[in-house]
Amino acid sequence: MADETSGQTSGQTSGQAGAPLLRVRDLRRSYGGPHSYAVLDGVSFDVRRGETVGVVGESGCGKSTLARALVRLDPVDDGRVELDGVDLASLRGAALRRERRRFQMVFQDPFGSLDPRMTVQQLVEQPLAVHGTPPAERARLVAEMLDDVGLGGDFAHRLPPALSGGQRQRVAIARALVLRPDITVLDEPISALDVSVQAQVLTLLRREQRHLGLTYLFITHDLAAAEHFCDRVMVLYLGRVVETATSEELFARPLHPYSAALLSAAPQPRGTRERERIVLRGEPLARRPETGCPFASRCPVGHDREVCRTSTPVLAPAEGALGHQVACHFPGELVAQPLERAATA
Amino acid sequence: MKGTRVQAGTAVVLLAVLVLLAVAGIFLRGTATTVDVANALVPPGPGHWFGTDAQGRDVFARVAVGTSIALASGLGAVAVGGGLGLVIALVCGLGPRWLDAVLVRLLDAVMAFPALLLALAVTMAFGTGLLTALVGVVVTVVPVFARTLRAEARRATSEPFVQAARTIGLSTPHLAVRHVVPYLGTTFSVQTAANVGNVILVLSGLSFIGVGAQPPTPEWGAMITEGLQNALTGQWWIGVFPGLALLVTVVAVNLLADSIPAVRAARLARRRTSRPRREATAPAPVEA
Repeated sequence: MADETSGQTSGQTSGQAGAPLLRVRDLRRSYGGPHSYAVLDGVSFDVRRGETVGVVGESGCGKSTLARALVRLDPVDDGRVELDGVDLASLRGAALRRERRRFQMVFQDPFGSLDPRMTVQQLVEQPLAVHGTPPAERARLVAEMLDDVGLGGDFAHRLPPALSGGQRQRVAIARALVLRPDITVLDEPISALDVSVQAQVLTLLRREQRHLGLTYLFITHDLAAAEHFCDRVMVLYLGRVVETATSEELFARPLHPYSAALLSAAPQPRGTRERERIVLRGEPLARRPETGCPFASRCPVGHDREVCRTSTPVLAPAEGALGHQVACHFPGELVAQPLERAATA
Repeated sequence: MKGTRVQAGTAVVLLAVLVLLAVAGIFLRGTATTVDVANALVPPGPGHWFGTDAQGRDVFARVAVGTSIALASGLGAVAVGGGLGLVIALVCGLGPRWLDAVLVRLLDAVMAFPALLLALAVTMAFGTGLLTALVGVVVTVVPVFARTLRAEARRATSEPFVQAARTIGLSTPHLAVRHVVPYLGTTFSVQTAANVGNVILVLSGLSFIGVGAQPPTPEWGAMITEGLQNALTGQWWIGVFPGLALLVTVVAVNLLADSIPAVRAARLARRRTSRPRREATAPAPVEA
């Protein structure tokens, strides 16, 4: 397995100037003992300060594994995670704990991620206390933060069981953002919430981002949310980045057949032009094949092509828009046909 | 739910009686050891509610003092043993896997011996007496707490709120004290109640066979042994009353242990519903 990663580190020059805030290089994470399997297989990407990068893909593609590895809840087996030049992957003990204030995470499940025995006030104050903020300043910052997320006043003395899902998620967000982290990993932050509350939470996140100059890594399976919320989107398939582009570019012109199929499966807003849905055959493989493209077995374009079976495509800049990268031998082939047919229908 | 309430109520009433008896025992210490040969073997009646024994000592006073000894030593042994067990459980649950594996094997080895036998062995090794019997009992309590709490502590580490606390930057000891110990609260209190009865029984058992509290001490087990000598000649009250006290205590404590989880769950549910669930219509706007 280890011999497959070689090609994936190159070609990561992001189209814009300035050193990236987060540089992830060849990140690997394996599960299982003697027959271990790399759930993340050489993931590399950059995140610039102030931007929101989305990570999309189906269940089991490694989205949450990526989130957990980045915030060091799980160990990183191999690769580098540089935040402003500091390699987080190699930090240990007290040094790691000190750096943790710079990268925070909002969890998917707001019902489980808050200690039910702590009040809202205590929950939001805890990160500051842990990182040694003096009590007077703590009180001020907590009050400010709670006001920002719309939970001022008597909410401070409530316990999580007395709050709704949306309120709890706002507490979780306040708890992460009160530290003013350099980067915040949002792991499916709205998927456990009622639809009516989802937009509210996204609006809150967007406003705090402008207000505090935050950088987000937004992990989601909700493509509409990704399109609306992210500046740039990465598509993950079986533990590898198969395509990355700005969200307008990706949603308008997906080049990888998997991205095209994924986008075609997302529900369309009413009034927009109908799009043909690309139905993929079979399930994703339980393990990546030793050779060839991991998507080849399900790919409408490449399943019968020799090169897709024998050679692993490398993430490389695509023609056209700056910063659009794709790992495919025949980029753009799939997307053109169904769109034309839909247009004439 | 109704059954639980009856059970909890019965336990509370019985325990209240026992506590009263124990408090009385504190003041009856002198009476309990006063020998009055002229009034030996008096049957239960108005002057001596539970009668008197062969040396003319008042059996009620002795049972009362025995209650204070039993409750104090039972709670004390469980507190010490449970505390040590909790510490081991936290080390196992939050520490490195290899240490957990080693400690669990050790605990299994200790638990392989029946409690009474293990306590007996420890007592024999250090000499007889109430204090060494207590040490012996503590040794039997530690692994019981450690094993159950360890499993819970392991589960706690995968709870999202514990992981969330880790991403915030809490150290492992801080995490243990702030989030894991409260999480173990219900299990700890159930284990405490469940073990107090057993510990009192084992302590009385040790005294009964003569390696625990020694005869002049009004300890239930020792009193039952003394009572045995008079049982054949018809003075049943000397052994029966401490035996009854022991029975009532163990039943009351076990009833309490059974009802703790339901009571705690009910309290949590009440806390959840007592506050209105209302969604603020929109987050407050940010001032420009």
